[in-house]
Amino acid sequence: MRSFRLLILISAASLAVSGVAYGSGFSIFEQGAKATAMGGAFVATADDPSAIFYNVAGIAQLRRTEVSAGGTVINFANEFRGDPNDTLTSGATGEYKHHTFVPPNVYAVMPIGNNLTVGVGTFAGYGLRTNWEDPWVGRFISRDANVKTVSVEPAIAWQTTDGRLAIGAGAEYRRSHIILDRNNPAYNPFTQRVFDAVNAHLNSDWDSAWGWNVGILFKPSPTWRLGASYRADMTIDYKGDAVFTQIPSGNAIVDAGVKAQLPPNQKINTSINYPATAIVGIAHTVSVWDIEADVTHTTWSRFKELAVNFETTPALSFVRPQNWEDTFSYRLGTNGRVATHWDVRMGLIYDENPQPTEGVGPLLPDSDRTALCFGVGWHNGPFTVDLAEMVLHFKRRSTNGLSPEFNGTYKTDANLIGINLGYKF
Amino acid sequence: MTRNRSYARITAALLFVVLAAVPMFAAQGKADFSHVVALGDSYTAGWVNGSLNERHQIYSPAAIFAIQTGARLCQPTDSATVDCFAQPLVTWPGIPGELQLTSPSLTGVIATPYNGVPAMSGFARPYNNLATPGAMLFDILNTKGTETTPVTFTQATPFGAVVERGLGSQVDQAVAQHPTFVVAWIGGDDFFLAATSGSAVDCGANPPFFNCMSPVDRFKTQYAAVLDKIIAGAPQAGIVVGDFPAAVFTQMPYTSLIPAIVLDTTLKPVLNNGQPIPLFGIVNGAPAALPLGSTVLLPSATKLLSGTGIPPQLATLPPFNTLPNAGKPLADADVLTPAEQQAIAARITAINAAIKEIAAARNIPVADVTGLFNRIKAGQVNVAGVPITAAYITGGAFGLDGNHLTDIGYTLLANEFIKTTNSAYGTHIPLAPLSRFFQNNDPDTAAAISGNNVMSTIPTFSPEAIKTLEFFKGAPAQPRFRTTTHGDTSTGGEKDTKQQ
Repeated sequence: MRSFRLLILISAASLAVSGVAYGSGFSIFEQGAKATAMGGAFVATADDPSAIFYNVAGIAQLRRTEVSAGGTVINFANEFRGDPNDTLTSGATGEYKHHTFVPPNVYAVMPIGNNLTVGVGTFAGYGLRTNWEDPWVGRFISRDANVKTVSVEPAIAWQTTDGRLAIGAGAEYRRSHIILDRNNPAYNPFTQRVFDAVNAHLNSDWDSAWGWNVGILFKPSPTWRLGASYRADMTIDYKGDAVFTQIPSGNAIVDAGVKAQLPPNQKINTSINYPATAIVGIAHTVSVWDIEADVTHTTWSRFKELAVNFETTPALSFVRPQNWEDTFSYRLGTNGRVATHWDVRMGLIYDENPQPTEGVGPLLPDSDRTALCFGVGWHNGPFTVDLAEMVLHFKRRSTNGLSPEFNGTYKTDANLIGINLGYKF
Repeated sequence: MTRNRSYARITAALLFVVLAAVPMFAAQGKADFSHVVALGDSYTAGWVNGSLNERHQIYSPAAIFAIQTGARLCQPTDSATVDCFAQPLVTWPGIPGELQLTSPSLTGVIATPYNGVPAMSGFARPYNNLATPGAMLFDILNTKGTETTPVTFTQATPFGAVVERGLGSQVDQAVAQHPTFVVAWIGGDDFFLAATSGSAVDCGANPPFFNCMSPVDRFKTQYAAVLDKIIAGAPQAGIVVGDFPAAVFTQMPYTSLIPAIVLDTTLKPVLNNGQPIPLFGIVNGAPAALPLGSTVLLPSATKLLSGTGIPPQLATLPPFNTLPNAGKPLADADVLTPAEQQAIAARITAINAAIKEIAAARNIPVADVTGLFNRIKAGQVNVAGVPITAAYITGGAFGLDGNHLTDIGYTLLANEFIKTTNSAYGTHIPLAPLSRFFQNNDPDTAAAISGNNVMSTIPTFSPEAIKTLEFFKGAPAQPRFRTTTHGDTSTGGEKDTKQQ
């Protein structure tokens, strides 16, 4: 008798990371409600404590001790439609489970003397979650991918006495945690169907790395401002655990076959190369309106592959090529000081995606994005309240039949609401 | 005035756009799928695990093709005036009873020991899926299902009565229902029935045609006759045909699983000085060592277990001396010799050339079934990363009878016809999804199917299983299976138990 083998393909078949997110790839650029309302065009303005994130030089302008805390409430609506020419996905649809994401941000700054300001901020500059609603046709590639980061950044900035030039630097301590979850299929000869044999759940520890960033702000005239910032790339090495859970098939013989081949739970490790981000911007004031235009360059080409090593069963280790490309995003924003206590804001964003077509998949169906932003700011004495609304549209993204394993079209929209509360001492 | 002229210009432009758009739409699909009809044999009928039954007929290649073009499958309760794709549904466990797997080995393959019944025999119009198990081209042109003296395999089975119902031959019934599109994967049983009977002889000039291959000239004549009848009767209908994989005998478990060498109980070769020992069988009418490369047909595996085919010189030696039939030769019909395999492969090659030539002359596209089986062989076919291979029981492409496909296999097959149709007719039929065969996507089906597997393991192929396995092997003048055995079988085992 030919040997009876249940093929449990826990190995190479996949488990890539990528990011679905809110800035291209899996960056999250919404780290302050004022900046968010201005479409993130803030590098040459940077006049609230979120400057620690956008342009650290900006905190030198803040000559009072200030704190600001807030978050961005992010909701997604998405849809996957299978490719009629792909026999796996033809006719299939899918969508994310509903999650509301609230990456938080907290900043505090304190001037020292006449020229120096120190500060500390915490924010979540990267993150993603693609968690598909069952029964998801792509669950053998990815059911859930979740990348979380949280950064703490002490910062310092100095400006000339006339306030025309400011420089700053920060040290970012970034902690991150990754979950990758998918099912592994096998053929059940009793039902002559493909069934979910094993769930593979990869869960990293909270691992960390240090990075740095610098910024500069220059005001050549009372109505013109130039800003630039650079946040260095970073690599986080992750350690974690792989947990394999057998999924009963309803047939004892099949289950015994799966059990015999179930790999032991074991340690895993991987690393992710985070990109560097460089931003330049120019801002101009016309009557009560500040208008700013920024260009951001992100070195996503550092995200070449995702390699996960399994320590007990090396045969399970896999390398998923990502081959992302560097991206630019373009941001235009305005802030209008329309009343004594009130500002109104608007912004526009065009954000290129870094992902090659053949890499588009359930882990991260990224796409070029456009966003329209609105917001208001209220300030009275020591109090500040900023609200932002962003309508984010992902261009419809098709694999165009180029995916080796899973073709289809992804449509995604997101809505982001930012809020920050500030207090000046 | 100016404004009026602008309106006129805009209207003219719009009109032009509309007019231009109409032929563009038409060009998107030069085929009309409002009434699809299929001709063919057991494959097109949806024969799975040695049985024709509704659990698999709903995934027959013909049904899959029709569904993908937008058709709805007829239910037994539908009237003949309803617009749906009608098939000769047979209640589970089918005709004959479907093979099931009770444990992952040859001996775990058992047949459900009772038959289903036709569920739509009174359907008052020809079926859309006219494919009839065992149908040679001769049957497609002639067999009406009322023959009293069978001259072909189909006529010797109940299937002529089940499918054709005396309403005319396959091709006549196809034409009579004014098809707009015809799927005709035909001619396979003009070699297949010989092969599954361990034979490679040509049929004679006149019927009966049992266990034999149609000579190429007659194949050509009959193949062209079927197509020409369709073209004459339904001149507007689109047609797609398909070729046959010549290397199928090196892949199909039925003909390739068991080499004709002495095997131990685990089916591993017994070696003598490092060499396998050939089995003993009838070659050219006389007992002899079977030539290397011979294969024992799957249903004959049981004979091996009792010692048949063990060479006389080993028959007295342990452990073979305990086997009752050791030293007795395998019958000619148990074995395909290399010469027979080559003759059949050569015939398939010739048939494929004929099909391409005849189809090309009529501007009919030919689905590349050979290409599908080549990809399966090369390990290039998978479902969500699970490889679909030709391996028996575990491979996913072939069912438990070893010579027909699984639902997954038929979906892959149907998709070849869809791809060919799309490419030839400029249509956009979506491929049939394999995701419907994810067990967890289809809990009802999964429960129904796994519920069938509560049978006890038996030590070898059961007599019913062998009968099922041998269904396409040899052909008697008497029907092997009656269409009904136990009356109402819709409640399956429970009824059976009560009768006992």
